[in-house]
Amino acid sequence: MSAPLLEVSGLRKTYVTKRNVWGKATQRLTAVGGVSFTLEPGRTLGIVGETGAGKSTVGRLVLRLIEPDSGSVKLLGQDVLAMPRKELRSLRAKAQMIFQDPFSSLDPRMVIGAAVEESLTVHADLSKADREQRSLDLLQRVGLRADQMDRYPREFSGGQLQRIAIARALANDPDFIVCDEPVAALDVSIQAQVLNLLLDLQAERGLGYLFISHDLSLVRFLAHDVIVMYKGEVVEMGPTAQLFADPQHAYTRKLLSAIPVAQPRRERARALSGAVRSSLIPPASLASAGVTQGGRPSC
Amino acid sequence: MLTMIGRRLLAAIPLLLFVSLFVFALLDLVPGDAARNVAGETATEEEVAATRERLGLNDPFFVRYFSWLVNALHGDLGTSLYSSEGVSSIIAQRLPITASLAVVALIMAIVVGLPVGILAAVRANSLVDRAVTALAALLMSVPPFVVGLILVIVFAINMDLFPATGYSEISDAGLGGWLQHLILPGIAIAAISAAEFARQTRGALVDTLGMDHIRTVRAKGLRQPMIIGKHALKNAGIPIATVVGLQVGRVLAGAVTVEFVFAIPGFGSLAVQSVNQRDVPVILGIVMVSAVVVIVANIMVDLSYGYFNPRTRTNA
Amino acid sequence: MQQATSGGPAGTGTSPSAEANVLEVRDLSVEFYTDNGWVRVVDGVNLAVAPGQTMGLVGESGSGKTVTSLAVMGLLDRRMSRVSGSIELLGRELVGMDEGSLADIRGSEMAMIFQEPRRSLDPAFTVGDQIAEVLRRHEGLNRRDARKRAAEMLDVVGITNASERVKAYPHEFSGGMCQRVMLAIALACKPKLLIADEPTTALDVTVQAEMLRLMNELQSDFGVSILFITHDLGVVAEMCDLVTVMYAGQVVEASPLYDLYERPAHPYTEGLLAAVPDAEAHGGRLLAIPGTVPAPWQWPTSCHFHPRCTYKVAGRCDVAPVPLDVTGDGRLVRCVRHDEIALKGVKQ
Repeated sequence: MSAPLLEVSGLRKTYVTKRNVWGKATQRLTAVGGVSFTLEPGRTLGIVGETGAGKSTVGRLVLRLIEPDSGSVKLLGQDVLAMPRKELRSLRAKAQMIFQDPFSSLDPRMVIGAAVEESLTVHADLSKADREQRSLDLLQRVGLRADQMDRYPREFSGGQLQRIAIARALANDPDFIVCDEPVAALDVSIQAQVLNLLLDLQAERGLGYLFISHDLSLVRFLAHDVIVMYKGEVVEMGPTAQLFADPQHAYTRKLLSAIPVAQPRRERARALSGAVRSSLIPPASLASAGVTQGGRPSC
Repeated sequence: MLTMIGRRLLAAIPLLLFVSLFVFALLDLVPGDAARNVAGETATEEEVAATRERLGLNDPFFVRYFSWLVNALHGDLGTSLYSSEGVSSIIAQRLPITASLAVVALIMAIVVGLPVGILAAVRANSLVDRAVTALAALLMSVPPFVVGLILVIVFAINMDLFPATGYSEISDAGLGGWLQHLILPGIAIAAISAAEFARQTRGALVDTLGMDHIRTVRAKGLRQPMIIGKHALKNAGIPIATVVGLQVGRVLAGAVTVEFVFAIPGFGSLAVQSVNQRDVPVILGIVMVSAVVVIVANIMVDLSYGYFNPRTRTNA
Repeated sequence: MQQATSGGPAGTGTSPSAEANVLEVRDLSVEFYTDNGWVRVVDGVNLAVAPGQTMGLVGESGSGKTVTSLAVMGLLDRRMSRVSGSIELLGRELVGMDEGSLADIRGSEMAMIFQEPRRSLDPAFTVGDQIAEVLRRHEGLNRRDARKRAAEMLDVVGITNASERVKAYPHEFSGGMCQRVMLAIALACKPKLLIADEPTTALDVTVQAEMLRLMNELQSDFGVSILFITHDLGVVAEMCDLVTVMYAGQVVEASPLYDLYERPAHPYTEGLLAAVPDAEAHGGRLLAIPGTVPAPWQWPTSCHFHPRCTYKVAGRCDVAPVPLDVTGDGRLVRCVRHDEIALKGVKQ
């Protein structure tokens, strides 16, 4: 049994929302409140939740792009939070991130060939020719052509830009990638292309993914295991198939029942029965999750 | 609301202190000898020295500054080195004149600048818009006194439509006469401000008109006058109001040279005169009064933000 | 095979009923003025919505669905766009109508809600004012009556404590509540047609579920027809009676709901259905449609979809513009091979 890629324990992050006259914090918002999980190599862990769940924050905490208040993060066996900046940089080569908006992560003045080359930090000792070759290989692997290497980001579509972002993420042979809503801004048919690419890469290279998304159907498709978050807390966690087949927590059930299914007969039958939505008695502590018995809205 | 006003006023105090100190120091560095000016050109060295002593000009810098400051805080702005009149009363005589000029100029600037800006925004990127933008840029590069001189030559001297110089009280010459004297200098000052208004209004409106909520208003079936007049302008209100605040300062500055050109006995020409004479107390008085006026105007603009954008109300 | 280029039966799957259609769009084309000159972005769209019906308008970016809806509402910038063809709302021709008459119809006979509800409300006015405004514009109510009706509308769309909330500003509301306010504004004057452009795309999934339920209820209460624009096939399945699919500026298919999903008529529809991760078991691959959507100035002169189509036949699909045909069962499809190929729908 190989070592886990990522071990997170008791991760917490709060933000100050109000200060008094003397600058002391009087009100805090808990963005992430005590999250723990493990990610094994070659597997995908999905983090699912709505706005304010804290899932993007978890992604950034894990790579130490934000400093947590408390908790521990072990990346490839090494303690990320105690590490000095310099070591962190070389560790980051092994743990990459791709974001929702591919356009904003690329320098508009740099051609994409150069952008990918720039990410080759670990292989700085390679000759220029070797680096160019490696960039070309990466771009071709994600489905772009050699003649596109000298084009600027604005000449590409959203789906292509996201593939370029993946190429950059792969530049240093990472062991795992945090994907923060990577396909949310893309059309459905393009989503499929990017997701297939991610799956292929995982099979080829044994990559681990932390897949953050609000879209449960995507997570169900991609992830081996799932974490459901609500307002910073982990509400339920487990193997994907099991969680979707038999959700334990009221919020998970609410979330699942809310996804519209692209099968009209099933969808209409569900809507008519309204069974899943209205027959639950939510635990008192979760009344704030807004699970209502039909009628008044929670939003 | 009151806390907001209070906080702004409190913040104004260090600003005023700084301005006074800065100007005091600046005046100290300016070449020229007030004592000599006061004593006269024919005075002997001893008489000049005696004058200097009398005027307290031999004291060290901070002594002079603090004595001025203490007096000013009691409301006493000192006396003119020249005429021995109280600075406060000199200013009080001149200020209303400049105030009338400023108000006329500001009104002209808004009445011309705002509609022109609206027109340019509504027809963005058309010929009209480009013409307006070019004209505004041109006007903004011409100093007020140049505009004033041109106006005097054309309209007052050649065409004899308006008087070239001077000022009359409403009580003497009636509203018509009063206005007559203020129109040309008003235009001279207002030209730049109108251009600034037009540009800022255009910019703010173009931004606002592109916003989703304006599309909603259109989808509701409202017509253009309501869309612009009620919704777009209110949302563009903050940048436009900000320009008003800035223009108050600009108009005061314009008044300085324009009053000189038109021989209007106002605050501005007093400024010119006292700088020439190195009449430090008067200069300081002028600067402080101007500073207070500009600060008050901008506080009022700040307060107006709450009307234009309700989101700012809770975060005073 | 019947050809339906312009005119022709407008409904699909519904018998020519005695009741007139609320909306009939025939051969609608829209051109935009760009740096490359006038470019066609919507090409020959046919669409019909019957009373009380929900018509889904499905497509991805570049399909022209939003531009079509804006053309119906008359919200396109007249200086930068040209609209040709016919748009009939309750029998009245909207194309070529003067702005004043259009403004009278907007908000009263037809209304629209948009994708980003928080940005669609005016931050400088209270929510009640914004609802009252449309009532005063079209029904001439005085301020007091309008305000009363506004509070009633807020209640109808499910906002608790409506009489107090009427005085609140949009920034005090969440996204879901803002969209409810938008619905209140849209339905206040009881229009016959509601156009909803991706109304739930920006909302959380649980909020979306409530919003869709609300829209269904309001539809039956108000008797309004809905043109529901979305890219989400799950939402379509829940909301729509009929579906029109657009690709690269054209209508490629129009079918009743179940037919669309179970027996799609156009290869693009088949591709869209296969790309939805929903029904796939873990570990399988999604069927992606290769290639990308062409920009309007890159549209092929023949079938717009053929470069990406798995069923294309050289010599037939790439030679001439493909007309919109009516199939035997009243469906619309734009494909030269539609009666030859059997396309895969979703599993039951």
